[in-house]
Amino acid sequence: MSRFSFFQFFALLKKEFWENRILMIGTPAVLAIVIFVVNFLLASQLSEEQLSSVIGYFNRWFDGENPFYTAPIITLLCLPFVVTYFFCSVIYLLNALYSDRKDMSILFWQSMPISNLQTVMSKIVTVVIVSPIFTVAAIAVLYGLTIGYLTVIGYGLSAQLSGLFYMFVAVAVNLSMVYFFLATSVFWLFPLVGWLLLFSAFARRAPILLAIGVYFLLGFLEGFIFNTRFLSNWAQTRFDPDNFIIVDYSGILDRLFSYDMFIGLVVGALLISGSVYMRRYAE
Amino acid sequence: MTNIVEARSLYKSFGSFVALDNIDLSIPQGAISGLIGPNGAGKTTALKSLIGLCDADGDICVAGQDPRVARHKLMEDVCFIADVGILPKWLKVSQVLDYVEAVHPKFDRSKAQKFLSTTEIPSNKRIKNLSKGMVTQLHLAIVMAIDVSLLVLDEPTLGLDIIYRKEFYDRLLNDYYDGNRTILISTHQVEEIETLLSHLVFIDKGKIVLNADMADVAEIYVEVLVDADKLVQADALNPIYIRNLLGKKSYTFEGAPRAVLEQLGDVQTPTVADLFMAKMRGQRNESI
Repeated sequence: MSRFSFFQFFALLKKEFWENRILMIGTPAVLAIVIFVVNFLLASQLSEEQLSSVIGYFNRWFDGENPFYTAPIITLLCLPFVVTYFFCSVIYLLNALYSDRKDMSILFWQSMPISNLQTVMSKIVTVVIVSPIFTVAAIAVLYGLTIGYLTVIGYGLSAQLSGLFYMFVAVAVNLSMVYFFLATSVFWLFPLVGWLLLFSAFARRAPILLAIGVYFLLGFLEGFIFNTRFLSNWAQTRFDPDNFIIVDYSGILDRLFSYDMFIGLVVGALLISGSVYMRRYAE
Repeated sequence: MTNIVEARSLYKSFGSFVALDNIDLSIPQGAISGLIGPNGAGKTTALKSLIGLCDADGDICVAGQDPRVARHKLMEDVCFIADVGILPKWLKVSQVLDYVEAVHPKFDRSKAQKFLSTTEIPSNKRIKNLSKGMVTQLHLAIVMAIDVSLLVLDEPTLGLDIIYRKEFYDRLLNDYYDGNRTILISTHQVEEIETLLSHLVFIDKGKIVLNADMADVAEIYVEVLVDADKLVQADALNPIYIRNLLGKKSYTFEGAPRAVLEQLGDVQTPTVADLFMAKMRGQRNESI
């Protein structure tokens, strides 16, 4: 990639950010604020003794522990952010190649020396790399505020706080884990990414209805004609969280370089190629 | 003179509707060419086909490239303004400039900003907050700052008031056109551009009705305000269009000898609008 192509691609990512800043930043930020406020209100209901006890509990839990062992435990706390990320990503992908056709701005984008492949790739990189950064940043801010709050309260109550340092390190490890999980889960769900982009590229209206409708229609036809349930079973396996949720780094290479992952990437790539093709003359 | 646009047997249909019916089209380099036709004639489809935004059959060569093979490469040498407000409404003015500067190798930001400084467009406003005239000015500022060999304009002033329309074409002619660049304009408002044009293309029902330089048009087509006593002679010369004008009959001829026509009455070159009517409506009489 030449230097100019790199800047071109960076501009495409910036454009995605400008267009979807509410989805990428606003949504996780609001979620972080809501969780922090709820926690703050709950904490304010506790007596000093109860607060001291909670801080002591956290302290004992993390104090002196290897952060790589404790980090997975707090991954559970990120669940609302993970669910929100997936929800926002589906919305983003459905609109990625549809909204500019709807408002006709596609004619402006297409009048620039940017290929359809570059455009579609920028959407994928946004979902895989850019968007998770903001989700993780929102979690980091929430963690930071929470640890800061616990530190201030604990200091006022003269509680033992050395464990909070370990908690802080565990949080850092956890954030890297969450980012890695979000990014790699998109690869696992690559067929879904391709499917959504494909319908986003050619649906004249309501791409979500078309994407869901065609999937069910294909499943119905498969059952009707072949009397099999391959499509629904395959999708069920693919979307089973147990198959792609990563809560620690053990066995990660086996998962990333598995046959199932490879098949998913191939299917996803084929569907994405279709969306690039459909983008050529879509209006 | 070489042609910057060459299209042969261009064909495009939408279902049973034939938008382009095997048309041949050539636009000379350095021309200001008007693509003129009624609604649904195939103007927009033709323009989009030429820049790779529409999948048409046939041979197309624009600025030495086939737009269907590598549209993005062609767009380094071609600019396009469509007939609708196509700038994304969620972008700020400054962001549009940032974007084009980053993706277009031939964009000169200082030129665009110089142009914008003569308008009332604030750089921190979103496009959705600009008037239609301002959006067109912004688009023109971007296009004029890109050093390309072909500018394609599809009804660029549609919906604008007379001040914006005049200003648009004035700036295009005075600040952009340098004799080497080619401008291809499709419009309904023929009167506004006819003084600019050096080349003319009429299209109707997906077929090219006329494709000629303005100099040739003036030689081939003649309008005569025929004297009342010479109507029979005029009819015998097979006029392509007859209309009533100020109590007299106005005849438009194609390829008739000028010396003969001068004996029939007052001779003049038809305006583009009149010629358009003549070619579209043929010999059908029309009362004014």
